[in-house]
Amino acid sequence: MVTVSSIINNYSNKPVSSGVSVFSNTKGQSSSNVSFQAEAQPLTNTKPKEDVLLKNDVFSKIKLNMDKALDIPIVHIPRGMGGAPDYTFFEFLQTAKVPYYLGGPILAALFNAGVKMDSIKSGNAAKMVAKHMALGVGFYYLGAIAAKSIIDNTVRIARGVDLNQPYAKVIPTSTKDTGMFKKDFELHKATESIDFTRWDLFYNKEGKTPEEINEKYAKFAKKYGIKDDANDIDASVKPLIKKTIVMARAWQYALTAFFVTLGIGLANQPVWEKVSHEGFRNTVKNGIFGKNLDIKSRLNSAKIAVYDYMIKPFGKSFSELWKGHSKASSIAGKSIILSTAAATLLAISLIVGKTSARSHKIDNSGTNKIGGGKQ
Amino acid sequence: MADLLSTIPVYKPQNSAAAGNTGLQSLPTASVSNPFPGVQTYTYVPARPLSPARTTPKGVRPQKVSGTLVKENIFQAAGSTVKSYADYAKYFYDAGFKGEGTDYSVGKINDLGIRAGSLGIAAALAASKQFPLAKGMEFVGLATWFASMAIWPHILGAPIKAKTGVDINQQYIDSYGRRKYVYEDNQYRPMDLFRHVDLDGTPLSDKEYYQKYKDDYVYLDAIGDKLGVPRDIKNRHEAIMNKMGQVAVQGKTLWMLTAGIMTPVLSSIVADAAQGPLRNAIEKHRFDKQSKNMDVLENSLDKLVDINAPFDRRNIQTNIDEIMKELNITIPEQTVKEFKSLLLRDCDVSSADFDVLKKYAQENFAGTEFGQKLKAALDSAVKEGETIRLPKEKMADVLSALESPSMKNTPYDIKGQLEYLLNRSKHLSKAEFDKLQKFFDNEYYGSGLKDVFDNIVRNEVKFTEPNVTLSDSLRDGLRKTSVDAVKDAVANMKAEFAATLPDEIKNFAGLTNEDWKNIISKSRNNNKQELDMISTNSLKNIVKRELSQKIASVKNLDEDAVDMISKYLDKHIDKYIETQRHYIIPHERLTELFKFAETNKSVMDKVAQYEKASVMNIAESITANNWNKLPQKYLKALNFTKEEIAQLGALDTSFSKQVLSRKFEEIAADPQKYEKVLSQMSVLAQEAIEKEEKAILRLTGTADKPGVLSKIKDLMQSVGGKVFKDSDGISDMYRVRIFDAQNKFRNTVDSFVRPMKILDTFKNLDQYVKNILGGSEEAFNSLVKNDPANYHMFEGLKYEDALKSLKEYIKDIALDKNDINDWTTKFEHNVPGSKRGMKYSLPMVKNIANIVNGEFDKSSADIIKNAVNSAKKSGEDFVVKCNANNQIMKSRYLSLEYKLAKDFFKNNCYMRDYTPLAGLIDDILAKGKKEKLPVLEEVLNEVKTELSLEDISIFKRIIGKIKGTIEPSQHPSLNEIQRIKENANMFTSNKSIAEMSGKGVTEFFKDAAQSVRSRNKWTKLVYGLLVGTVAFSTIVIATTGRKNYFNKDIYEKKDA
Repeated sequence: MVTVSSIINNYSNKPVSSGVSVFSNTKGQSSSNVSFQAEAQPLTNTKPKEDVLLKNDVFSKIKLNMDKALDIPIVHIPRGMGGAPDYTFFEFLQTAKVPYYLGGPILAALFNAGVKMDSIKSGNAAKMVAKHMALGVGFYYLGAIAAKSIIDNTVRIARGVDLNQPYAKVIPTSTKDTGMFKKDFELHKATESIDFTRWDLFYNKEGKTPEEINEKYAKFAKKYGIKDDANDIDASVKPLIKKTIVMARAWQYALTAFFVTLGIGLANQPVWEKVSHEGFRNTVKNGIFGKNLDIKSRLNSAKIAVYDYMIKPFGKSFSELWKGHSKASSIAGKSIILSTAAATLLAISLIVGKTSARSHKIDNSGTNKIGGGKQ
Repeated sequence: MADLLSTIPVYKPQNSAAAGNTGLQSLPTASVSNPFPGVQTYTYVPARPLSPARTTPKGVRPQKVSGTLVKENIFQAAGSTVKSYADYAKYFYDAGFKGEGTDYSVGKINDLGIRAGSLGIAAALAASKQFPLAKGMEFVGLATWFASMAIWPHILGAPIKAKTGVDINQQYIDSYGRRKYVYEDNQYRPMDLFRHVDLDGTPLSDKEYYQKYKDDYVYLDAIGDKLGVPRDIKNRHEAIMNKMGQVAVQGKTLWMLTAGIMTPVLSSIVADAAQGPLRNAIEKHRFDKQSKNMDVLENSLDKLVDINAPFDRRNIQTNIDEIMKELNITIPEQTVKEFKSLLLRDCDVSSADFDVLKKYAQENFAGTEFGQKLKAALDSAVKEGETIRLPKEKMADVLSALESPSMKNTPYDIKGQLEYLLNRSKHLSKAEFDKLQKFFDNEYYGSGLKDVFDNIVRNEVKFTEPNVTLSDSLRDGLRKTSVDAVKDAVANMKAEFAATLPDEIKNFAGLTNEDWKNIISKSRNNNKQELDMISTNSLKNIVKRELSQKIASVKNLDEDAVDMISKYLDKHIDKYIETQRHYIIPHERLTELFKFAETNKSVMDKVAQYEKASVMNIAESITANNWNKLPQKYLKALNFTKEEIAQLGALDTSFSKQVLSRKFEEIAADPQKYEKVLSQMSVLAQEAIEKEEKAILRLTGTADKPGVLSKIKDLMQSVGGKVFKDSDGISDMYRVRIFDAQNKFRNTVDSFVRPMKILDTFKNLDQYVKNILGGSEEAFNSLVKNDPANYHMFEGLKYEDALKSLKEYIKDIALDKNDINDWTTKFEHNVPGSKRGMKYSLPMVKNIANIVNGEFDKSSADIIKNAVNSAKKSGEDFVVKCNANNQIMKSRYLSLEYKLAKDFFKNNCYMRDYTPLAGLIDDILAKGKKEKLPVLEEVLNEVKTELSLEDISIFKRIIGKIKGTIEPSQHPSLNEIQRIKENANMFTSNKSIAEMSGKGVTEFFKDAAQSVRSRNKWTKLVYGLLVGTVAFSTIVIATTGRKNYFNKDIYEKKDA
């Protein structure tokens, strides 16, 4: 049984790149007098001519994601509806985001339509239910994001590997048939595939010495605790990185289960009934963006909007979930919180522990020490 | 060229010839001669592969080259899905704990994760719900969500397959045994999968295949034909595969575009459809379960209450332990512990007494149970100042051992001494006693047991003074208190006066040891009696007396000063003694009360569970489910159109009333319609009421056959009376419970029958109104002229207008004002066209009360009877039930009538309660209207909790006489009948009318209309989305596989 959300999360279920393109770019070593350059580049308006890593800072990320999102309706869907011959699996995955993000809100809307809103009393009760529902949908997505980001950050901090490292994948098939919907490149992630990880992109193609070429791998190796004199630094660290990707992805999926449950559990707490939606909107609209206000009161309103309307009730919802309103709900609440915390700790400790070079045998004869090799 | 290449530093530099000296000969090294000696070269030793546990090959076997198409039906598919979850769990273990996995296996973990997460969500939501249906629906919602998610691609796939032959959900098993989708990646066109496949899609072995076909790709060719790929082109199979790719991409894009809408929509529809059956199933399950519990309870009660004996000669069990045993009640250990800890305090003894106890434990009682317990208590004693404290936890055992039968033969003086010392543990301080009292108040709140407890306190709790000879600390406390008192008094005197006080006062030292000796010696003689007496003031008085004598004996002390000091001494010592006062509580009594209270609680908990499943106003009870369904069914029976429902549900009640009034008039005017509507409503009402009645009768029973609650009441009342000499509070509590249950039932019947009665009222309204107003213009005019007391409100109105006005007035009362909000004022509203209301005209009020709340008209009663009969239920019974309820409600409801009666008959009593029983008895006995007998019986049941047992017995004999079932010798006397007529009142004032009066008719229909409207809103949205999406999908599917912008379908003809 394939499901929409499984497809979207099975981002790497299938090698995205067809075998041809893997390592296809290693051929592009340019002449030796090109000086060393930063390998990750910002995505500019000029189209890349070959597969290239892209910068992954906040602004680039926003731009990338916007580009990717925009491509769904204007490129992928028309091409899919027409059944373009060069339609890729990547495009399918992009399209699968539509039901993932549409399903929850529509379910909430349907639920909302079914409750009795006519009288003030039932209307209020219904509003509360609808509020929990809407929050629940929001917190579901937030929970999924949190699970992913915890692992991403663990791996980034502990091992220096950015699991979201984007790269532009140049599509060679701008066939004459695709015309106005043609695409020149797709925005992939370097580590999206376990079987076909884009190792080639991490080499510095302009580098002249092994140190320069392997510079990135050397950095990874250091993070993994591989000694400088390890044989064949890149080959030593690659299996560890692969292991990291496998574990990280497995735990991201597993933690998602815990975090979405936690999210729904929190959204379902009575504290949110007391948080007024109108009040929040007014604070933002008239307090932060209102006319003729000095900066101090704007800041104060912003503080209220963030602290009183978000952080405080969020914290309170934790304690309400923990306490519960009945024996069953208190047990459920406690076990949700505790199991989420335990699973998170287990995930982090396993990933950090098992990917360390110390738990593997790495050959280091000393002969390979970068810069110290024999003549 | 090769040389050139080797000069370029690549990422894996070649090893130099010198590598052989590194001592790593075991590793394979390659050597390349260096043609450019001036350029730096690098040593390269390859890394050893990490030890990936699973990559070790186990036996080499040839792999199958290609995959196989999967052909299975939907059930098989579901089976393989479930089976694969076990694999996925293993994938997770390998990936999450060992770091081993592939894109495929890790991807599958997500499937598992999503399901686990969704189950977690459903469980979390279910735990937060309080009711089983709500809990269940969370899981139903989850199941339908996944089911629709899984089924939608198949729904889309079917027409696509029918049209093009391409199954977008086609799976295959690859050479590793992994299950994958054929069209998952559009760039991957596995043509081999379609080789040697039968025309129905079943993969065949080569042998089988060649027996049937010659060409290798018959299945593919067939699909090609369906897709319209010409037969005579070059590379047709590739062309077909490409076309199939097109269809698959189109189909899957359509799936992705529609899944976000269809998953929630289908899920909503299915869950909505499942809700009804699930609700019924849960309702039945809960009620059956609770009914069984009631069976068990009732069975035990019957044994305890001796149900078969005559009412006044019952032998009721009053031994609480026996009752608990029979009812199978065990008090939770925690509660027992809590209670016991409240009954005792730590036992303080002097060191001398401690030695005495020690001696007893080691010598006299060594080896006995008491000795052991006492030893344990002494062992855990704590020294507190001069006294030694034995912890109360141990004292409970010691005390119970002391009272055990084996201690019976203990010599009197020893036992006396032991009791004297050890029973101190039973003396509670004020704070401790307050705690005990609070325990009873809180734990058994509303159980009617507070009175019993208070009674026991009043009559059986003793207060004790601390024993003077025993406690040094008390002596010291009193001394300090008296010193403080004198200091306080001096401080409150004028400074110049205080300065003149004698030194004895200024340095007052309280009672000296001499003084105490004096007191004690006196107490041995004169005061002994006074000290022995357990009266609250003895010690206090003695001490106060001694002190005042001491003060008075001070020389040169002003009399005013003596007075003032004495006052202060009084105040301080009173206060101090109060803190030292002890309560001697009757242990056994309170333990008994505790058991009784727990029994009571446990039994009532069982009843409450039953009520929750049946008649309580709580979600998912039978009542709640009735209320969920019935009003909407009534709307349907009354044939309301969509527009009318919209108007009815509008916020303005007067508007709703108009719509309703129009509808009722329309139906009442058409006899056929009337019969149809009333019949439908009767069947619906009967069904709903029957369910609830069954549940209620179980609790309240009838006058002849007491229900569970009545039996519990009898039992508890007897225990309360016999054991605790007080049963008022308890029986009141149960009476209220029975009232509540009855009221609940009245409410249900009133709510559901009233719309029917109003329909009946509307039908005969013309006739009623004419009758009231005289029937003709002349008669009307003369009534207004000659009987102004009753017809003053029509003064100045023409006959026609008066008819209209009165009709409007009655309609208004029937639809809107006959409501708990208006029940005291409804006749105060003015008649339309007049400035006056009807409240000063008793006959008029009575007329209208009869029209609105009276019995059904004969023809309507017949319709109801027939309709219910044809539904295979007793129509007769139902009509009686309706009429009796209407009568009762009329009596309970029309308080104003009695107020009027007072004015009208110039009777001095303020509230003359309505006596329908008296009227009924008269009707039956004097006027011979035997058909009213069933109503009389019903009304008797209504008042059975208000009548004495004797009255009930008279009542039953009256009924027996009418029915002819009793001997003439047992017939009631005239006096008795008179007595009943006087006693069998229905009190309007002591019944909770608000509870028993049903919903106002307008409100009833308005709420129903609102529910329908919100449901319509939902239906509109859900089905709108469904239809829209299906239409969109249909259009897209119709164009699937056609030539288009992306697929030009240009083929090259095969060479001839």
